[in-house]
Amino acid sequence: MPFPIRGGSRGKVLFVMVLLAVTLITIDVRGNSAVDGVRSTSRDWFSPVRDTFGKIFHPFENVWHGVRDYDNLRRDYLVLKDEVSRNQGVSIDAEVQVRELNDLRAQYGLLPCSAITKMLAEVVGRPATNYESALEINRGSLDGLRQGMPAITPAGLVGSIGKVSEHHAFVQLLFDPSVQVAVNILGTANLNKTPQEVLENNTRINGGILVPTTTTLGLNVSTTTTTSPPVDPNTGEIVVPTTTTVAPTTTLPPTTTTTILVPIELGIMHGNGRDKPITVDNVRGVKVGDPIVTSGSDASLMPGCIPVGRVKSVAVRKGSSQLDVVVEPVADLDRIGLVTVMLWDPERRPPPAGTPVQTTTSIPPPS
Amino acid sequence: MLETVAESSFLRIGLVLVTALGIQTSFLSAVRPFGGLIDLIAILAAICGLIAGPLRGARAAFLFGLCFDLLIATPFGIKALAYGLGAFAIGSLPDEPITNVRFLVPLTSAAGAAIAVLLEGLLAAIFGRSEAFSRDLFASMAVTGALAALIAPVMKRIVRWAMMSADRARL
Repeated sequence: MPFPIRGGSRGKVLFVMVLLAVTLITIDVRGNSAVDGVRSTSRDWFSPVRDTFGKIFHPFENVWHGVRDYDNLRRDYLVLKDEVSRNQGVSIDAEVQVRELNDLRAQYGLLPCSAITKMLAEVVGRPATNYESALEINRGSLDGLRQGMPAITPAGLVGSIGKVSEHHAFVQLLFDPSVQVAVNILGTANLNKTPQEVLENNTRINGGILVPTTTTLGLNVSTTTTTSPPVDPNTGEIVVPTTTTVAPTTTLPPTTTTTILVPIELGIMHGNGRDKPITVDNVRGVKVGDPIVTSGSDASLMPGCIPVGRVKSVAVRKGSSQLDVVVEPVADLDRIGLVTVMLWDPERRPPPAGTPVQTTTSIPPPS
Repeated sequence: MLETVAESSFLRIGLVLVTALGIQTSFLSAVRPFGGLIDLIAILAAICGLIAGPLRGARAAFLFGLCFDLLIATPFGIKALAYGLGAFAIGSLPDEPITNVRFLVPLTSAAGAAIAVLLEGLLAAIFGRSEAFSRDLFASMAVTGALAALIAPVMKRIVRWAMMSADRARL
């Protein structure tokens, strides 16, 4: 049966086309479950076609990257090889630190990162426009994914889950303006306090984010605080003090110096578009190179244990003493093949930071 | 005037569209020469305008854009409008010089595809995606236009096969 197309005035066709498109855009921008449903179903239906074409064109894609990226890849390879050899020793130390951090978090009722269920997903679709910053992954609502869940790589945070269909979901990358993450910018502090004091103060003030830089945190505290009774070197007998005016050595505070990374500023990190920097606005006291992690504060949609990046540059805001910070993400957002989604539900977060729980840790009490 | 499009033509258009969307969402999304994304559907839309004229071309391009919009996470309808307007603009050009001067087909195809890409960026910026108007947009216009000029002769045949018999085509 033939399908009629009526020839008409150009103006009429143009008008109807513009009106229809603007209506659709408006409905979608305002949020409409019907439109979302149709789009999500379409994506699920089309994914086998896209996967098939992906397989067919994979060799061509490899050729393209081989021709275009060979020099970059070779340079990256040499840099990474050097970095791996340097990091081999550091990784053992890091493992110890992670274990200690998880012990500390458990002591204060904070969920260790390792306790959050994670799901590996493959990137099956790249942004199909210049301004889109979303990767499509092959996991969806049937796998437990929900909007807002953090997406990470082994390096750190790459974005959050956007629209979700049954079998697929979009990962909004960090440079997408719609992605806003509560972050802590960390700075180093040398404190003449016992590790226990440091732990308690920082836990109460900063929502439990505490990243030790040395293995001494909370462990080497009792070296100067315990004393044996004095022994006569000639006779070997214990010498009993004859006066009571000598202050007992155990009353002296320990002189342990603890070097730690502490949160010095809390801010909201947001993207500004694909080829624009990721920024944190209106902060104070930060400097280039400071590490940035997710804050895990009550208002945050993400747990507070994910590395995000480092401060790349700092600019003073005009007419203000506050700073605008450009963030260098630790994860390479341009080369993501696999992502891990943390199945984190902000509604079911553990007790708030600073709430003491039953202590079953091996940290020795201060003298 | 009442034009008719046979059912077989719909099938052919569907086949061309699915193939183009498959290539676009897999291979072309992964390669970005000079930072610009090649928009094969914009090229298809421009050729539709060129072959089928402003009305049928714009309607087909609008349909292509709508299908593309279904598969991505951008505001729904932006690509449809951009491609429709691009095809309408190219289809409105006078037939005679394009038919007579050989190199004008690749040239107008390139211009039409680049216009469609530019319109999409502008519309996205208007509808709240200000990041769309960036350096990458112009890179995308350039690479899409260049590819359109290269493959215009082949695409012209494909679109003509899909949309209409040779005797009813403008070119």
